[in-house]
Amino acid sequence: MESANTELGGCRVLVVEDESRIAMLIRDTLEDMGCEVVATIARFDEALEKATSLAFDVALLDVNLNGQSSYPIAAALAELGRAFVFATGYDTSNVPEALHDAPVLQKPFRRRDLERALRAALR
Amino acid sequence: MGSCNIGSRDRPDDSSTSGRNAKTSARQRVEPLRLQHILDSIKDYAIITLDRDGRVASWNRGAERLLGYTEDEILGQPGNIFFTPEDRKSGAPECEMQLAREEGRATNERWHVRKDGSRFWGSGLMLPVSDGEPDAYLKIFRDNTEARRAAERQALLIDELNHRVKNTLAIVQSMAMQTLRSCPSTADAREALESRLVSLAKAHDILTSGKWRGGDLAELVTGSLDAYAGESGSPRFRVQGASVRLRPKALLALSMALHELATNAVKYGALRNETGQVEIGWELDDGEPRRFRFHWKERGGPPVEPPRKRGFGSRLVEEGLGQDIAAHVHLNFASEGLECTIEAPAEEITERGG
Repeated sequence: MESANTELGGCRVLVVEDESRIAMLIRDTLEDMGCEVVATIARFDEALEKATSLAFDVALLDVNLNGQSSYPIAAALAELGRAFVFATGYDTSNVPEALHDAPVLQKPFRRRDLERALRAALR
Repeated sequence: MGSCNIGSRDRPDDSSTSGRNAKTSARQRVEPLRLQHILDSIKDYAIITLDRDGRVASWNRGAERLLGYTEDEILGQPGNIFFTPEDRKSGAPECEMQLAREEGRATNERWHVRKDGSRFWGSGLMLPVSDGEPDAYLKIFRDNTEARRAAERQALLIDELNHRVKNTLAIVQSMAMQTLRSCPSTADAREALESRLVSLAKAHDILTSGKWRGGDLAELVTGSLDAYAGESGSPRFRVQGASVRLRPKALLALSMALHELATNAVKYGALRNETGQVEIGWELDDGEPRRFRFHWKERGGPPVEPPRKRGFGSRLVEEGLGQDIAAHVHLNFASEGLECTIEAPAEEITERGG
């Protein structure tokens, strides 16, 4: 019943998150929703590479990767016209102007927040 | 700042007030010597007057000390000389005078530039001088750089703290969800969740006491296992390893792994009986690049059976360490006792790779 109303079944998601336990939660929640997690990546360099080389429908980007901002990855995705969502515990007022339209998932999050953010990104 | 339309300056055409004139009139105006003495004795404050055109009409010792210009050098010069180029470009000096005129005062909170090009944060205000001639504006400020820097640091810390709190809440959320999902009963879940949270809190304690710069691995190991050492007298743990200064991230990850391994040993392994032991050791090798190796080896417990289904604990150890410190984790459920080996790049574990 839960995955039936999400319209996200089969959606391929790239997860970029540096904290393993949060990554596990995101992964499990996405899989419960019927999504396919194509990769879970913790490091900036690898994330930038995979963001441009892997096939997926939407990327979920932790804003702070071990102290490094993931905005350049977002900019690369925007350049390629690929959908993405920011995930953060930060106040989002410092998101660069060019990336203002990206949906933001505030941590901690509810499952429906995640669904909503993904749908907004895929619209 | 506030609203300030610098286009609407209206003042009588008085462009004949050249630098020289301003200098002379300022000198003539030094009548009550006593007042000048008082102004000059205020060394920590720049006390400056500007004429209607914004040129310097008087300059106290504090201003000389703060900005580096002598009175002779600066009298008659435009008062925007000690504003930053950015502020000059945006019209801040004019804006300040207009605000002072229209509102009766304008705050001066900005970076200023000394004669030698260095900058300081000036805090103060500008006031209009009623019927003052040639002094139209009075400007008083002091060097507040230290307070400004402290405020900037504090803002940064609060932002960072907020990030950490939210992140920690998300970690707690994750542990609660996963624990509820993987435990067969509410009582089991409750115990597992409580002990995971207590372990997380302890790891934070170690980090806090080290000012979030990391901690010592041997201390982490003994601290984490203290509660399991038992009262039977016979030592349950044999710990051997070089001194390794852990990065914060590695400390949190290994703390989590130690907790999961120890609780598993209590439930199913070497700590289930009175005599079992755990051997723990680690090393940083000399390879290029250097690798960190850690092992946990249980002996003397009841015979081990591989779990029928992979629990959250194993997942935390394997996936958690894989993700957090790029480790390869091997869990071997040998019948004589569980063995866990962790291998990771040294640079993930300790600053400068050892």
